Amino acid sequence: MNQPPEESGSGRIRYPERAEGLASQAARARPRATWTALADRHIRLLFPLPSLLAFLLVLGFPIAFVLYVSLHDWPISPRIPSTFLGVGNYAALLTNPRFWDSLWITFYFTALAVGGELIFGFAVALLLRREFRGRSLVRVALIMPMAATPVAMSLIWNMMMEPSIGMLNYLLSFVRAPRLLWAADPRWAIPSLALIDIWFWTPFIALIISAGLQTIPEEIVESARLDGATALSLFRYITLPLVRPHVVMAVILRTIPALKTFDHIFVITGGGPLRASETLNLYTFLEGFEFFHMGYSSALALTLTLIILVVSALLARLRAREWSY
Amino acid sequence: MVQVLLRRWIGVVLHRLAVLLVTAFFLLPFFIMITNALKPEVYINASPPVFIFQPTFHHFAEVFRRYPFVSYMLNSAVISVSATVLGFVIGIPAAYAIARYALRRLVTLTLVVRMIPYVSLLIPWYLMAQKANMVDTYPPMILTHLLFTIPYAAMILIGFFEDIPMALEEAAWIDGCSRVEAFLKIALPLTLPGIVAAAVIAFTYSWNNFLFALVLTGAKTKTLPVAVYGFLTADQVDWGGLSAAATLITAPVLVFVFFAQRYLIRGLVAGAIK
Repeated sequence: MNQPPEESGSGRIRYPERAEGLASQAARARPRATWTALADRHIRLLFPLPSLLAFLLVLGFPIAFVLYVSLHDWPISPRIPSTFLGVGNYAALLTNPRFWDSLWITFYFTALAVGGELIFGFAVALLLRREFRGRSLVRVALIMPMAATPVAMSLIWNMMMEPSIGMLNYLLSFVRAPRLLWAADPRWAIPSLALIDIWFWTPFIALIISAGLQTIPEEIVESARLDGATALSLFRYITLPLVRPHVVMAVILRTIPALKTFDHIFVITGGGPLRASETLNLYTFLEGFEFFHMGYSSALALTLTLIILVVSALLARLRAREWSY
Repeated sequence: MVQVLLRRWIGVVLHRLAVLLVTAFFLLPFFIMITNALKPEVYINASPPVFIFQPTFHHFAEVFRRYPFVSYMLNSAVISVSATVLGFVIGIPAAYAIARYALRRLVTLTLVVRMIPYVSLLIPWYLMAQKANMVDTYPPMILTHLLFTIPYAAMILIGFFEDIPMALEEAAWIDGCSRVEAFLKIALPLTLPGIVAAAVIAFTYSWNNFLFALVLTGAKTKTLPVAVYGFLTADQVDWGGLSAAATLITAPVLVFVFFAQRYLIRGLVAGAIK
């Protein structure tokens, strides 16, 4: 009663074991409504529950359904009955050269896009390591491609790649390079689309590698410099090994989305010309919503899902090795 | 001595030049978009391109006159805001539980959800919406967008919740708060900056989403990306109108990003590394 209240207040903070005691006392002294007590006891299950239910509804059930559809010849009109085919759709796609072409195109696109993003992104990260006026503004400029609406920016790139009056050929004319047809040329379609992907996603890789570069202790770099290391050996023996985990992470985080790129390929080439840019994702979409082969398209979709999960699992093992220390 | 200074100076100049080129590369499409949107019709197809002209808002006016652009904007806004709010109401408690109880399997599940190609969900979602007579209505669109708003809420906010010292919530328990109350009154307000950053990212993804809208929307619920894609197929040559429409779609997202950029870089990278 005589004790001033501040003292007991500070006592709680200073002695954690006493605080524990008080907490349990408080819990016993004040009986709560049963449902709050119940909620408190099961918070570990209760809090994730809405997410689990939502995933089940928006993902779990549809995946089971698409598996079911993939075993049928399934017309788009609900009035026409479907016929059971078993694994017929899967057998059909495995023997279809168009499937194998699209698979190759998918990997070709991914390799060009992610490879380009990695090299360019590393260079950008190194440029941004140095202090200079306006660096934060350059950072904002870097976020813009990631945030801008892909369909809108694809339309702009489509204008820039226009062969006769587009900006890219105009710029090429300064270095006396020949005019290109860009995405309209079957040989250049995938490189052109990869260039656009590089524009969209290089900043993402640059920002991750930037974060990695910030973790390199200044003393290591200083002492290497004092020992007479050249810029090149500094990069080769200090920078590169120390940011390797971030590099691997960046590659993983870009490879999986690149395998399922849709927006700019669909807007700019729609898979053409002559199916030169028809990735597996595009092929699946066209089979389902241009030709209305719902069953066959479902089989393609699940095959793509499987490929992505396998690639993810392989990359995850790579990541585990990098981040283990 | 002079030589050393000269070499350093050349290094600085080369560095600034490289920065300038890189920045120009990333800004070029935005520059083209805005100049084309403001160019009078006669200059748009000019070769070589014209950069000095009297700007006009003719193309913007045309976009609103010829298309129900306001209703496309409303559709996009309703869907993105609903998907973000619903996704965060569902996802924030999950992020908190992951941060406090290290639920590794839930993290893995969230990652898997982000990996699934959306093209594999188009057919079941289309057939389900057809069956329920809900093609061209909001609910299927909002529900499909939970596929990314929930994972964004969860993945980005885990780190923010982990940063809050446990002692603060323990103090609240001592003062008689239940755990749920401690979460609502202590942890939630403290992560507000993180929630805002994550919401900006999730909203942007939902606003930009094209694939689900392409299949699940129709005349009544068409969102901006699908509408502007329709302009391309309708009139291939109207570059001014296309650029104006593209500017209108991209502007809100870019304004958001500009204001939230401080948290955004942290949010994006944190969400990526975890």
